[in-house]
Amino acid sequence: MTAYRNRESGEIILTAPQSAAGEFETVTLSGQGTVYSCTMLHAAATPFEKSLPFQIAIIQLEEGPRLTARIQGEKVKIGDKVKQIEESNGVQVFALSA
Amino acid sequence: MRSVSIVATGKTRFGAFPELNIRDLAREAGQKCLESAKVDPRQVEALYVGNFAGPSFVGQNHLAPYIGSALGLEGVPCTRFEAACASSGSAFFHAFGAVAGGIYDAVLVLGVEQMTPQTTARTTDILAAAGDLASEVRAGATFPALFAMIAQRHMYEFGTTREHLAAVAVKNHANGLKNPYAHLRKAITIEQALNGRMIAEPLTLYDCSLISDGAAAVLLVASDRAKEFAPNPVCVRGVAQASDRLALHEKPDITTFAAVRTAAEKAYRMAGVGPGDIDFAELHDCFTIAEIIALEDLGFVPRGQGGPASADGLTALDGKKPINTSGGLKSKGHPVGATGVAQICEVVEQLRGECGERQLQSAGIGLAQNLGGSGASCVVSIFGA
Repeated sequence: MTAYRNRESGEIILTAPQSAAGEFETVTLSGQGTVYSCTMLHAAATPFEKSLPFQIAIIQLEEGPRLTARIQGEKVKIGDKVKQIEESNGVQVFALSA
Repeated sequence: MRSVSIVATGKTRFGAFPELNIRDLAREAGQKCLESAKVDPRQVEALYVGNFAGPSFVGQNHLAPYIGSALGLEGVPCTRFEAACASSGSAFFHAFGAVAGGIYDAVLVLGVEQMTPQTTARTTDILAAAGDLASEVRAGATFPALFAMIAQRHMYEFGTTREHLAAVAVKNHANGLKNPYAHLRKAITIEQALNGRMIAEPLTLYDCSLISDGAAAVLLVASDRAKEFAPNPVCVRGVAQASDRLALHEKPDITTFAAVRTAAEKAYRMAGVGPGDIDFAELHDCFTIAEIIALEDLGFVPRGQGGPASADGLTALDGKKPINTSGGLKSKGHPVGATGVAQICEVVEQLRGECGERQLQSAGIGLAQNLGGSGASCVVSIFGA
């Protein structure tokens, strides 16, 4: 996973920075994180109905920022260690760390 | 800034009316409001419409003049406000500013939404678009899923239980049973709520508000002219709107809503009151967990205590702090764009002693809290003598 680090403050952001926000460099993230919150969906919007049930989570990345991700495989709970396994259509997919 | 009062309310029944035109709903609420104060439409100097997604739900855009002309308003400014589920709260906030600032003496604020012409799946798509499309929605998040993650974190940090959530649903359904305008007038039990169809864990169908059609309106007037319109005007003591980021993952803490705390603090300061002075409130229970968090963010209970307080009866009709006497979004219904003004109607009608079976004995100061999305918009308003 790639992200952007502010050269002055060191803050890491996931979405492309605005030029006015300062100077940024591209960094590679470890893909390791912790589940901040999660839910298993049993009803979904039309494009996702065929995937039901599926789990989504807010992941606290090791480097600081959070993101909303899909969970693949085993069900996770708050506090679980997870790792990024792929990016699919702009969505990060995570799974329980071994 | 001038003092501003509400001199009239008007609303439709909330329910499923897919066969109506959205303008019929709006006209019914607006006409009832104007007629109750015997106001000639020509006395109305502007129309502020709150509507979330008319273009998506029914295909009609340019709603405000469409509704204004149906109400007999000729040539005056008619404008639509969108702030997700806080759309009509936002319209109210901006209308207040225009009257308080002396631009107008009399303004009609009307909230309307018609959702049931669409299927539930399509409605879920339309509502989800009030979240962050590029991140949350793309990952498959729905509004129930976002509030489910809020609930999970609240349970994790404070020990809130599913029984606490269910207590909110049971209480709001009990209140809605006493409201002839409510969409789903049906008593439910804790067991029913706990065993409802799972939507997004831990939220069942009974933790979610309803998909409804409906409209509500209030007439705002400069207080020094209020007696010309009604013998019993209700003063807007304080009102504030605040904003936050759309995406939940961008908020430092999802067990509290910064926009609610900010709007509440400003509204309390403007009204010169604190949480302990509020006798009753209409809170934005789009999901049961949202009412629990609102109790905390408004300072009615300490952080983390919203669940136990709800289960202990603090918020019941006969409790110390009655919440959602109307039945709330849960039982009265949630035509999203109408909700903010509908909440204000209930507070005003309680203050005027017009609530029949659900009328509170001591209703001196009431509050309405209208939330948009997963907390990116919030309007808090306080009313009293």
